[in-house]
Order: sequence, then C-alpha cells, then structure tokens
Amino acid sequence: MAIRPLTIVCEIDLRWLALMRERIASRKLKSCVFLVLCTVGLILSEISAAQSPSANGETFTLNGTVVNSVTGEPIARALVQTNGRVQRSAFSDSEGHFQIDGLPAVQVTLTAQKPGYSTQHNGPGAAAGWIAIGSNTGAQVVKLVPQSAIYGRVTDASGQAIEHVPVRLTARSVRDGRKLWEQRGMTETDEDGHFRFPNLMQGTYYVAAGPLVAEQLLAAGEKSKTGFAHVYYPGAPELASALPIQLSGGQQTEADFSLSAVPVYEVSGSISGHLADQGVGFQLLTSSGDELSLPTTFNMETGTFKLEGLPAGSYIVRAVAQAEGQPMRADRLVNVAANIEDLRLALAPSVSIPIVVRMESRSSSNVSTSIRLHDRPPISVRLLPADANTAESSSTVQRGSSTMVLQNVDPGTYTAELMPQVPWYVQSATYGQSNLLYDDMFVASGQSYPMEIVLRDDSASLSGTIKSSDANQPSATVVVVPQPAGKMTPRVVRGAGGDFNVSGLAPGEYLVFAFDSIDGLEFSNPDVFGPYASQAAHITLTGNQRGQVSLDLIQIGKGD
Amino acid sequence: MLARIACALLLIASLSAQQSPQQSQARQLPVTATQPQPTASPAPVPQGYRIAGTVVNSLTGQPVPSASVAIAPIAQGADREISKSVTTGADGRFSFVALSHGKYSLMATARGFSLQYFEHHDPFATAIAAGPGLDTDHLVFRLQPDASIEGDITDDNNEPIQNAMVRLFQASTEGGRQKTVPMNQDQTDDLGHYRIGHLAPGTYYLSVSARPWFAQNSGPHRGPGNPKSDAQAMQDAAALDVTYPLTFYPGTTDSGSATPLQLTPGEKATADVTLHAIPSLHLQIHTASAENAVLGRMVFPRISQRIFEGYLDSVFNAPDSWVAPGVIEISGLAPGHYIVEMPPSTGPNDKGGGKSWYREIDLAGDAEISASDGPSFASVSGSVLFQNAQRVPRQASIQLTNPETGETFRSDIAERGEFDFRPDDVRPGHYIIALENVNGFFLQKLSATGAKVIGRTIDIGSTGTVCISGIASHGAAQVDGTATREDEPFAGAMIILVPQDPANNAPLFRRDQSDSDGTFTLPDVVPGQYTVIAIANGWDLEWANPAVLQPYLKKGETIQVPAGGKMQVKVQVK
Repeated sequence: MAIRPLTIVCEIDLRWLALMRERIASRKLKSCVFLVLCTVGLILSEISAAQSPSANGETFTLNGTVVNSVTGEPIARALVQTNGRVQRSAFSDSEGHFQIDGLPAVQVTLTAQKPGYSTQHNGPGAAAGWIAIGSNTGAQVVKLVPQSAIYGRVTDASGQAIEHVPVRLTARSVRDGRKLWEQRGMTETDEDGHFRFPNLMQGTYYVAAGPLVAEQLLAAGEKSKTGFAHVYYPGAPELASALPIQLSGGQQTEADFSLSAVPVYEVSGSISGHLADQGVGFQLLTSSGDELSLPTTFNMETGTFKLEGLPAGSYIVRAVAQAEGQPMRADRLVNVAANIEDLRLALAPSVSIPIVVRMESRSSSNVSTSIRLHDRPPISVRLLPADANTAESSSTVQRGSSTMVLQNVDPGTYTAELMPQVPWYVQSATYGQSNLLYDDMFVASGQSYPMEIVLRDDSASLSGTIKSSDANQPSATVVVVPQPAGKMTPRVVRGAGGDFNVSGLAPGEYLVFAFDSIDGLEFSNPDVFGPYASQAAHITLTGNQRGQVSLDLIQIGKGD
Repeated sequence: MLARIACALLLIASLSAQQSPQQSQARQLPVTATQPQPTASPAPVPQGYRIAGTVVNSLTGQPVPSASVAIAPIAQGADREISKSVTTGADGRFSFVALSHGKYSLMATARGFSLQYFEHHDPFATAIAAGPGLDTDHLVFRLQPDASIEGDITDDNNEPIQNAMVRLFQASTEGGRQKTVPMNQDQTDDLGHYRIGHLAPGTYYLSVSARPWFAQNSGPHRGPGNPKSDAQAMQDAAALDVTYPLTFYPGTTDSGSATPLQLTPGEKATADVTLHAIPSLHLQIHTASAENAVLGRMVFPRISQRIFEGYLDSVFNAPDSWVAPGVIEISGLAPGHYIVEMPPSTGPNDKGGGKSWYREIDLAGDAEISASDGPSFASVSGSVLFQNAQRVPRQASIQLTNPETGETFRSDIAERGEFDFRPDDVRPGHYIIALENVNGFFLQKLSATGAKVIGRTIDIGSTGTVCISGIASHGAAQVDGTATREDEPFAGAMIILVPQDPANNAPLFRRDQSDSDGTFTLPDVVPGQYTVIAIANGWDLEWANPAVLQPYLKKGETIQVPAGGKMQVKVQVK
C-alpha cells in the first residue's frame, strides 16, 4: 500500500534532520507530520471506499464558517472547496457560513480562498487536515490570514509629488537563526507621488526611496546636476538607522517620504579583464548592500562605463561578467563628492577555496589520523555572505576524490558555517590568518587560501529534562550556546516529552536554554540570549563526557 | 516641421519600468526630414539672433515656472540634438541668445506637463526660424497640462478586482483616418484601483479584461461513481466555470456602444467599471497535426476579437489545454465574434499538415472547429526590381498594411529583390503596399498574380498563393514651399501633398506643418502630379478620406513633380 514509500520519505527526512543536527528541526518536523497525516488520510479513504457506505446512497452535509484569523470576523464570498475523493465547492455567505450537501462518507480536506487573504501555514489552507464525512462531522472553522499593505507618497521639500521615484521593499526575517533581508518588491511612484505594496504577509519590513535624477531637458553632452537622495523610511541615510515597519495581519500602513533635492554626480571609468565584445553588467550598491537603480551605460568597444545621477555618499560599484562560463566580478568602494572620472575596475574570476580536513581520532577504536581515500569528509561547509547581493556557497566533493572545495566564491565577507557529523566536532578552522570559529572570513578578489579544518571525535553529549509550569508539557526547543560566544552557531534540538538529547558537542563551556518556541529568534547572534542568561544552565563538558542537565522552560512564544 | 521626438533629444528621465509597450513604441515616422539651408549665408551677426518668450499653461494662461525649455537646431543631414536648454523663472520666461541664422525646434516640459513641441500636432510642430527681420522674441509657448483617468474595477458583489487589465484607446486621425488605437494600460491594485496619467486632451475609450479570481474552467475530475454526488460536483464546477467578457466603459461588451471619455487639458477624469461573471464557453480546436503536443514545438492558437470597427485585439485570460491528441481546448471565452489563428507548425512530422489557417466564428455556445473547415491564410511572396541600382538597398523591406485594422505584415527584401512573407501568412483583406528603407527609391509599377492590384493597394483573397512584382525607381524629389495668407507667411498650417487617385495611393501622401516663417518641406516625393493644399485648422480632418479632401482640392496648387531634385511652391492657406 501507499504507506510504504511515504514512510520512507519520512525516514529520509528524519535522517537528514539528524545530519543537519536537528538545527532547523521545527520546520521540517511539521512537514513530516503533514506527510504522515496525508498518508493516514489516503489509507482511511481507501478503507472507507472499500466499505462503501455511500453504496446505500446515504449522504451528509458539511458546514462551517470562514473567518479572519486575526479579527475572528466572518469572511463573505470566500470559495470553499473539498479535495480528495470528492471535489465540491461553495461560497461563504455574508455571515461567513458555508454548506456543502450530498457528500458521501469519505475523507476530504477543506480549503478556502479569497483575494486579500492567505491560507494558514500548516498545510495548504487546511482547516483540520483530513475530515471524515459522516453523521458526526462537526462544523468546520476555516481561518484565512488577512494580507497587509504598505503605501505612501513621495514629495519634495515643497510638498510637491515626485514621479518615477524607485521605491524598494525589503523584508527582514530570521531563518536558521540568522537575520535575512529579502527584497520583496520594487515599484515606482505615480504622477501623484503614490506607491503601494499590496498582498504582504505580516512581518518586519524596510522601505527605501530614491535615488532619482531630476527630469529636465539637457543639451548633448551636458550632465544632469540635481536629483533626489536615497533614503530609508522615514528619512534615514543608512539601513542601520532606518525605522522598521512592523506589519500585523491585515494592517495597512502608510509610509510617506520627503526627499530633498541634492546635487548629483557622475562616475565614469574603464573595465579591464573582460573579453572583447563581452557584455558587462553594473550594479550600484549602497554601503548596506542594497542595489540602486540609476542610468548606466557601458561601451563594449572601448570598455568604458558611466553611472549617472549619484548623490554624494559611499557606494560599491560592482561589475559582473561571464568568461567561458566562469563568473567574473569587480567591486570598488567609491566615495562620491564630485564627478569621478577614470575609475578603473579590474574583473577577476571568482575563486575556488580548497578545504583541507584533518581528522584527529581520540577514540581507541579508530587510530587513523587522516581520512581514507574516496571517503567523504564527515563535514559540510557553507559560506553565508554578509552582503545580500552576494551568493551563498556550499562545499562540494569532487567525483572520485575526497577533496572538498568551495567553488565560484565571489570576493566578500562571509560567515563560515561548519556542520560536522556526529561524533566529530570542529576543533579548529582557519582561512589564512582568520580563525573561523571567532572571526568573519574575508575573501579577496583573485586570491584564496585553503580552508584548514581539524576534526576530533571525542565529542561530548548532553541530555536532560525540561521543567515547565504548564502541566501539558508543550514542545520545547533546546539551544546549546558555546562559551565564549563566537561564530559557531548554537546547537538547536527539539525537546520531546520533556526530554532532550544532543550529541557531537565539542568539549568546553556552554549555556543551555529551553525555549517554548524559537520562531523568529536570531539565535546565531549571541546577544539575543542576554535577557535569558539568568534562566540558562551553565555547564562545562570534557571529552567523551555524557552530561546531564535539568532546564527551566523559558516562555517567549506568543502562545498561539 | 516634422518633430522627431524619438531621437531628437536626450531627456534624462528615471528608468521608467512601468512604461507600457504602446508608449514605448516609437511612432511610425516618415524618413528623415531634411530642411533647406538658408539660401544665402548672411554675415555673422555679433549678437546673433534670439528665441525668447513665455511658457504658459494653455488652460489658465498663467506662466509655468521651472519649466525645462530646449532648442535643437535643424540642420540638413545632421541628427538634431538639443544644443541649449534653460529653466524658466517664476514669470515663465525663457530666452536663447547668440543663435545663428536657421531653424530650431523648440520644446518644453514641466511637472504636470509632458514633453511638448511648440504648437505641436503630432507628429508635426512649428519650428522657429531665426534670422533677419523675423520676430522670434515674443513667443508664447502654450503647454497643455496633462490629463489623467483613474477609477475602480469591481465585481458583481461590489468587491475590488485585482490585476484587471485596464486599457486606454484613443480616437485619432493620425494617418488621415478616424481610428481608435490602444495607447496605454494599467493593472488594478489590490483595491481594484487603476490610474493612467500623462494624457493629452482627446477622446478616449476604456476596456477592462480580467479573469474571475474563483474561475476554474477545466471542469471537475470524476468522482467515485456516486451518480448523485457526481451530479452535484458537476453543478458546483459549473458555478466556477465562468469568465468576464471584455467590457468597455461604462459597462458594455460591445465596443460600438462604449461611451467616449472626452478629456480636456488637465482634466482628472474618473471611470469606474463593474465586471459581470458569465458562464464560460469552450472552443475545441482540432489541429492538423493530430499528434500529441510535444514540448518544444507546441503551437498555440491565437484568439482575437475585432473591436472599434477593425482593431484586432488579442483575447487575454483564456486558459488553453490539450484535451486529446491534436485537440486543444480554449476555455474562459465569452459569447461573441472571434478570429482564431493557427500559426504554422514547425515540427518535423508536421510537414504539409502543419499549414497555418484562421477562422472567424460567432461563438454562442461551446463549439468545435478544425483545420479543414474553411479559408487558409494566403502565402504572399514576390520580388522588386530596383531600376539602375547596383544592389538592393540595405535593410530594404516591403510592408502590407490593412488601413482598417492597422494590421501590418513586413518582409525583408533580399539581395536579388525577392521577398517572402512566410511563415507569417497574410490574412485575406485589403492592404496598402509600401517600401521601407529604400533610400529614395519608390514603387513605380506594381502587379500581382493571385490577387488584385489597384494603385498601391492589393486585395488578397483566400485563394492560397499570391505573387507580387514591383519595379522601384530612383529619383524621389523634395517639395519646399511657403504657406501664406493675405500675402503674409502663415505658421502652423497643415500642408498636404495629395496624389492623383488618392483613394488607392495612400503611400504617396506627404504632410508637414508650416514653420514660424511659413515655410515647409515635403521630402521623398514620388515624381508625378499632385495638389498641394494648406489648411489653417485642419488637424482633426480625415485627410485620407477623398470626400473630406474634395472641397480643399479645388483651391490647392496643382504641381508636376519631376524625378529627383527640388521644387518650390507657394500655397494659399484655406
């Protein structure tokens, strides 16, 4: 029966979880549970079909309400559909009520949709997974999450609307314990200076407007002299000083800008290192890594470029190209306070970084101190860029060898994420002069070192119990933070049934926390644990030790 | 003067990502306007000449401050670039000094005023002639404030429709015929709101197309075999198998009954439209290939509607799917008249069977059509003999234009003068034939097999194969002239060079607008007999309609234009 392959999927999922050392356990576990539910649903529906209660023609009614998940208010004119063995549909009435008659006794899922609303996260709009249709089927409540919007108007110092101002929307979220900025929208103001970003999910957003070259007629060869600066809402020059906009479900938030006219400059120069007749792309980035849109010209024949309309400030001018499939790039930090001529950009190929792994076994069963040929080293490495416009890079193993390498790494600043397999832990990791356990990794253009990693296998483990004032013993997440805090990401495991177990820990000092939820917690940043330090367990683990600890549950979740 | 907006100036504007295709399409302009050099170069004047005046709001007469004003010299053969630009002060005044003798195009823009040429009547404008005895110091540059249309699109339940495509059509006499052509579009936001700005005054129509958000046109899957619940499932599915017909403001599905929006300069108009969902019709098309669709060589039919008495409008929001080998079903259609075109299939197994075809159908219910039901496209090819030419001009092409629908087919002319419109087969109809990029060559003689040629037009039927032969001669001429009224030079008049048998010789017409000294230039004139007419307020005339021209022709100047060279004419403004 169908259960077999599906369970295997789940097992793979769980193994993979173990491999990733349960670091992103909560999300994956949910999808696993969902798969199981689906499987059970299918089997049940098979059974019900086999028993064929509808053979006698008996039918039932499914009814319920579609509600706004934030306000609880009913939603009219939502489309409600059953899926599974019977596909039926109905619209909710003005009270949000829906009714589907004549259903045979089978298993169905229920979805609802309506413009301006998103379905709930758990399953595609599923109210309660699989519903068994029968005489005991109760009224269903289907929740839809209202979408939000950010809108506003951009005016000049005299209050007059400015048209064609580029407006960018950036969402800040936390994924895998790291802050993540994602561009979610890009628009332009209309004739009345208005812009609007609709259909947004709740979350934290930043809005930026500008820069813009003032519209005017210019004689041939004349440079534009005025424009409007680039600012983050409500008027900050830098992302760091910008005001985040917190959107809750269904919220419509206004974010107006007043831009002042400023002198603008031109940056021109030449490119070297590219092939003749080869296209070169240009990006203008702010010091916080946001890409700006300004007129750019590149002359393929002469290799010269021109960026127009830059207000005074610091920028990164980036050129990108491809040479025989290999990415090429050049970055130059420029401080613009006047026209800049003759800026030279030298394109350099991205670099490859070999990873040299030394395995120091301390266990009596394994005396080898170097890896066997054709064996994959028990670690994977990921480079996480500090700049949103640079790509991530993951280690690969070359076919037929055991050599690990990070390919096509663009110059820039990264955090090296090191993920060894139990029982191995990272004893040391260096790149050139940098200690990757504590420092950023800086990759220079056209130059690379081997990344040197020493693994040991005398890792410790830690298990224990989680005490909660709540008798229902809700699920908990245990975070194990090495001390002193460095670049090593804390270990995160799910506590099930009040117990937890974590292995593969490097000998050393740790702070151990048990949270009810870490959704949205930026746990790769040691500072976020400051407020909870008094509720943590402080332990020191030695090689091969099996530590025990009892933790108090820290309530930080919203409780829904 | 012909105002070449597309290449005449460097307008620094922000990267306009929302620019619609209609906007960005450069106007089809005749070949380069050439202007006569001043007949005698006068001695350099130390102070030079001046072009000066005031920019005013055409609606209020008030001066426009902070307007950007520029001039571009008109020089023979040279690309015209802006030579000087200034910004008006609070009094709206501008001045350009130390100018040399010659003609200049004058243009301006300001916040709320799109770029406009002096006394423009697109694509023409009045150029300013600066020189001895000419007063160019007291110009009044009337800028028309931009108008806009905005509104809300709602459904049967008075709820906003997001992502509805709102398109704006403009009634225009450009080309000499009353036509309604698409000019801009916008998509509604989450509130069902749209807005189209920067509009010139004129007559506009609005159409709205959208797909109901709850529409599911593919039909339900069969249930587990319970007849009662199956019937209910079919009933539910029918409630979702709906569509919105293409709807014109204020709420009609017939473009002929659409209400025009008459926009005055600076008007902020509102136009709301409600769309009504109706049951969707399904059209099954049996293609010739009778094969399953194969990725990489899938051929999809094009469905369009004729709106505004001719304009061919593609149907959006009609999902299609292969329902059987070689059978494609278009769903989400509203009742109405459609044109279904099947482009030629290029698959290796489709040779012969993959011929392109088209159908016109009146859809009132679900229907099926097949490749063998009716007329095919015509395959049009032929050759042009370029007389006394070493070689065919580079990038020469031949163009067929349907004056009613605006449909245009174009084919490159190859080295030996041959051309072939395939694989873009030509829909039967009446077309104007014209050559493009031929450097002073003109079509002297035209004939065809498989179709009927009259003058420079051709009637293509659905007979299959059409072969056109043409003879192109060199020696296009230039007609320069002066428009006068009561012996005074007259600026801003519409000048039309009317060929004999105007109804069948549309490509021979030439037009211009007289400049500030009354002079004009008609380039690229095919030798022959013409009548030159000058009309004072004729910019809305359907000049390509012989009946409209008739009263003016009697008062025009009849001229015989010889091959090559230039000729001068004086014409009285009517």
